[in-house]
Amino acid sequence: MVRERQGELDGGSGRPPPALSDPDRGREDDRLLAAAFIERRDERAFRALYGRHSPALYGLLRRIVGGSEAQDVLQETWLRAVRGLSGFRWEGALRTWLTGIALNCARELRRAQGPPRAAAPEPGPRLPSLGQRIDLERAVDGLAEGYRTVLFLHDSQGYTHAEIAALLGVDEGTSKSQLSRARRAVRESLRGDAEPRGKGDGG
Amino acid sequence: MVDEHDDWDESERQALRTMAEAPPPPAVLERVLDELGRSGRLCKRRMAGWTLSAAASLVLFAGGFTVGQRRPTPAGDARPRYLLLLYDATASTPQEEAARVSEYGAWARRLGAAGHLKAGEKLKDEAFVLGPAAREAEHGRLGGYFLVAAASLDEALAIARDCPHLRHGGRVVLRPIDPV
Repeated sequence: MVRERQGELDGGSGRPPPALSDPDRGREDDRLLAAAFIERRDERAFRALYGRHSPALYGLLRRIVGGSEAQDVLQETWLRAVRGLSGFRWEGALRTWLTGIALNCARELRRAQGPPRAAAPEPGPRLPSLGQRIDLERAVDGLAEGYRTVLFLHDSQGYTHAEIAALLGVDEGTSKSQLSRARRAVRESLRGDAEPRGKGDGG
Repeated sequence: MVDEHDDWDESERQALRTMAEAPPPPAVLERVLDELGRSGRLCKRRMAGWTLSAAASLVLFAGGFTVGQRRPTPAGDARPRYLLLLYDATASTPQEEAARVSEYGAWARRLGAAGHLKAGEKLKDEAFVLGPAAREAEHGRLGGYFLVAAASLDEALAIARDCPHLRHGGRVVLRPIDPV
């Protein structure tokens, strides 16, 4: 156990992987954990899978559906994932598959809810003077949902345009053009004022 | 990620990466586990699970430190250092604690990869208080610490604010190291 974890940590030392969301990372570990969970219904294996992937899924959901709904969608994502896990063929990364489920769940929620709205700000302590990261978060949250999703998947979580295209059911060109528009809108919002306006028009 | 139109500066890129993950509230896992238990998709093994997951999470916690050391910031890092003291306000079950510590490990690994983390350890429950005993009760129980390097107090505060401990009702006290 100790050796495995250590090996995983060593695995990234050749390149700069600051985001822990590298979808290829630890694919073999995912496979072993999933097998243990499917075969033995092992709670520890499930907890480990949950712990490995939930922060990235929740990071995404928090941005696209907002804090309190993100929790419900995350729960639904895992329940669906468990039902589908034995059918997962491991041709791609588990993380990417889970992300696809999460996006579907978010989309269904959106459809049930009606008109789209911007992500709700996270509850919790916020120190207004912390500057850049908060400005950036607000600028991203101020984007229209489609742009926000592409920008977050690409620039934050490191997905490629091909992966994003597959996840969102669009073509790569769309993903690319949405990304560059989203970046431009964020840049304008950062240049403009501290209080981004025009939620929903996305540039 | 090569993209010719990417005009983020380094700190923006780092901020974007930091946004990539957020630990969900522990209640979500509990709800998922309950649901899986009810539908017979899970074998609950409470006690056995605890010993092992606690051990695993300690490794993860230490893992953050290891990465931090292996990726040292440039030699002669003169940045100020800050001690983040993690005080626990709420009691939790061993399961919650284990899940939490592994969350902290993930966070610590990110800090390590960004060159901030100098050290980080979880403390045992035991406390040997020398001197006036009231001091120990000041902030509650000290559960762990991180030593980080940051360019400024603002940056250190941003790091502290991002510490998962805060999302679990814990208190983080930041103390600048006095370079005497």
